Amino acid sequence: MTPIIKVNNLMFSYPNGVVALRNINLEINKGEIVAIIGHNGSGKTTLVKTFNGLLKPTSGEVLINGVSTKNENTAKLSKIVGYVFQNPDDQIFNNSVYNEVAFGPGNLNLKKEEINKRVLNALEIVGLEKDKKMHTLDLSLNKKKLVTIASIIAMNPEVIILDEPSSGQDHEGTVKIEALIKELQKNHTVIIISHDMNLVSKVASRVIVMWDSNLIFDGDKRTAFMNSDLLKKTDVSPPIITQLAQKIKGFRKDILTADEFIDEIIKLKK
Amino acid sequence: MPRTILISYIERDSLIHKLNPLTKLTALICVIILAFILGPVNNLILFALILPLSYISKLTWDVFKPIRYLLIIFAILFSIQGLFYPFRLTPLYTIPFTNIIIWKEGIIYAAEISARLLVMMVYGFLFVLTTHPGDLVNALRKLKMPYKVGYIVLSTLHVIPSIQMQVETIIDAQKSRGLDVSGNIIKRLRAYVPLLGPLFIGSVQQAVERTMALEARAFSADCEKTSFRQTVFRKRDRNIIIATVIISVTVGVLSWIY
Amino acid sequence: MDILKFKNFSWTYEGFNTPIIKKINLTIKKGEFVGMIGRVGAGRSSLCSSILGLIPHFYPGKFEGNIIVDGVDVETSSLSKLSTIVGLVFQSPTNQLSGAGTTVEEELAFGLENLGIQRHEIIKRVEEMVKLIGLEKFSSRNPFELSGGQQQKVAIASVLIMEPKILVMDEPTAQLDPLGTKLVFDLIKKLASKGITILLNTQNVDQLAEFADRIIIMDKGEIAADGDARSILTDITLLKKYGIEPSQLTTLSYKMKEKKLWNKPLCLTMKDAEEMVCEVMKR
Repeated sequence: MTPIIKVNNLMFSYPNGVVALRNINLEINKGEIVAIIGHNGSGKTTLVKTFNGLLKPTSGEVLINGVSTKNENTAKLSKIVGYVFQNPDDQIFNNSVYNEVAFGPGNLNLKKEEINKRVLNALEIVGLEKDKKMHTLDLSLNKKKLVTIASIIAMNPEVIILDEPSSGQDHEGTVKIEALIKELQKNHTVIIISHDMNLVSKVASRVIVMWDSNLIFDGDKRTAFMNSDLLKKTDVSPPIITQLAQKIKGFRKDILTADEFIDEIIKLKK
Repeated sequence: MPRTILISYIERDSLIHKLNPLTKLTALICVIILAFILGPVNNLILFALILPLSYISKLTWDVFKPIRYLLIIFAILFSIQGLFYPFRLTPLYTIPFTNIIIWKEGIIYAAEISARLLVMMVYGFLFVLTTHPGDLVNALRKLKMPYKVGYIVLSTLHVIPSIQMQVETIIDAQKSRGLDVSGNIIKRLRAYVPLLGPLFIGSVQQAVERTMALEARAFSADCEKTSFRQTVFRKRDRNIIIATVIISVTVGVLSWIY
Repeated sequence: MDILKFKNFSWTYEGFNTPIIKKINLTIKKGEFVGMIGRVGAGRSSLCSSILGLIPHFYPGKFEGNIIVDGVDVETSSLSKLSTIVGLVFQSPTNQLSGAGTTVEEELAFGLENLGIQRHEIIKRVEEMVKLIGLEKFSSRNPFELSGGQQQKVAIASVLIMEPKILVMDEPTAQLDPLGTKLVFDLIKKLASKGITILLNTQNVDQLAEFADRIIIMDKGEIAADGDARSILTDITLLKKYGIEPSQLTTLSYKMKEKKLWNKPLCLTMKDAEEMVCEVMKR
């Protein structure tokens, strides 16, 4: 099976010569949830911008469903790779929630009924069906984020990229986003960029770590959280419960939840 | 993220950097007036004088970088004036197999303007590169320029790149939703409409946040402001101003007489 | 000594029917470190803005009750006067830079220049401040080219240099990456140890657990809870009610209590949790 995203020896430098990505190789398969983590400026955002053609490789290639992005524009690639930006205010421009969500599918030359169907479906998935007539300026931060996600769902891309989905969200908003990401996995491949290790540990199975324009780790999240050199280098702290487990002699070092922790206590006490 | 700042001060330890901004400003004004009085040949001599100055300021080649942007303007000037100058009399050249004539008066006129532009551009650039914007504002404030005007001048230099970055992000966000920004100009202009809303809200929000942050630092305090950077007006500043003005007036008068 | 006092304070933004802040009564004493938590839209940011007087002097709306900072009445005082008493730090690191300074030092000096402080005094304070925030290496760099975390440190320093009586920070790490967050919290910790009066609005319960003395929970414009940090942050039912996720360590001890593995008070800090696990394992 062809991976949905395949990156070969990708290099990217800005016109002023600053190198932002060095020799990146990776494959992302259908149905995965992948988290990309690292410092600001490590190349995370640059990397995902090559997935939908906003940036073109300086050398190497990015293949989407086996086709190079080189001669494709973003408008066309957006049918396959959807990208939700970090700040909803950079994206939202329509008056009503409905129109905002309809903008993306409206660019896809679809019939009116099909657009309507997709918008209602997307709003239902994010739980905003009651707010479709609301003015976008009156939305709370939590709901604004959901609108931007719905507006990408409505385009029905195979891959959905979420840039910092939990930023600006309170706990309840984050819980909703977590559930939504899991729901999205049923029909989409999901890539999240996030600093929020609690979120990453809850939703992703695979973690890609970027550091100084390089991909320095690609693998299971538990392995990543156990790799102290990796964490130190990238200033990532694993969830606090993982930190606790790592401080205690004899405990598994890859514990991610309170329940796992208690199981470990019970097991060790026996 | 790469930032493009068009023109900015370059820190160097040079005599020209150390001059009071007002001295440099006076000299710049003299040069600009002279550029208008002098003909193209004399202007080229004036242009050549930038070489020793840029050498003294330790910025030899940086001063000439903007000339490449001028080349386009020169090309347009020469072709339009050469062909359509209203007071044309003497044909200079007829393009073979056509009856298109290039006129001498037009070419001379274009040369005059180009030489002026060239002089103003390089000296203006020397001024910007060697004068700390904060010092300039301080110096102008001593001449009773309102504090807030000074702030606007200064902050614009820094705020433009951040707005530029925001524009890029907004364009990227809409492209990612299938917005096609290719095609003919009308199609393109229509495509940019969705960008206006977020851009407007975004820049207003930036401005509001910055204004509040300024208020948090007593921006509107109603007292005599002081300055961390110091601009001194030395004896040599006075001497240079007097010398520049005398030389400029002499050169100006002489070229007017002859 | 009371530094900050809200008396029946309510605020309604112009164009809205319902107040965003409703009849708040709150007193903060000198040297206290108060953490503020709550849902998005609970009125936390508005409360922060009101202490500097942005409410009502910058935003239009209906102001009721009183706010007194260091003996000064916010409603009748001017913003520039209040800025010498209250240091307010905002969320966005870049948008807080004045744009008037081409170096970190000049950025720090901005507030003092506005107050007309003498130049030799400005130089002295800038030097001290650069040292305090540990930005010696960056003092002559353009602040716009620093990382978000460092910019935020500059922002904190640029109000601290005006020697305010209280430092109010409105989600200072919300837009930062983990490294930036760490830089800023290290600085906040240092300031707390110097006894500076601090009101910190943040979602970061784990960090508050480490060094806040007192916690306020805001909900729907009201103060829903106010008490010492330990008792509030370990009250799981209370936190859940107001949409706040307790620290994972507190949750752990709570679940252990449910399973009858633990019968003492719930954990808050890493130290508590380590002690708890040691004790449980010994038994």
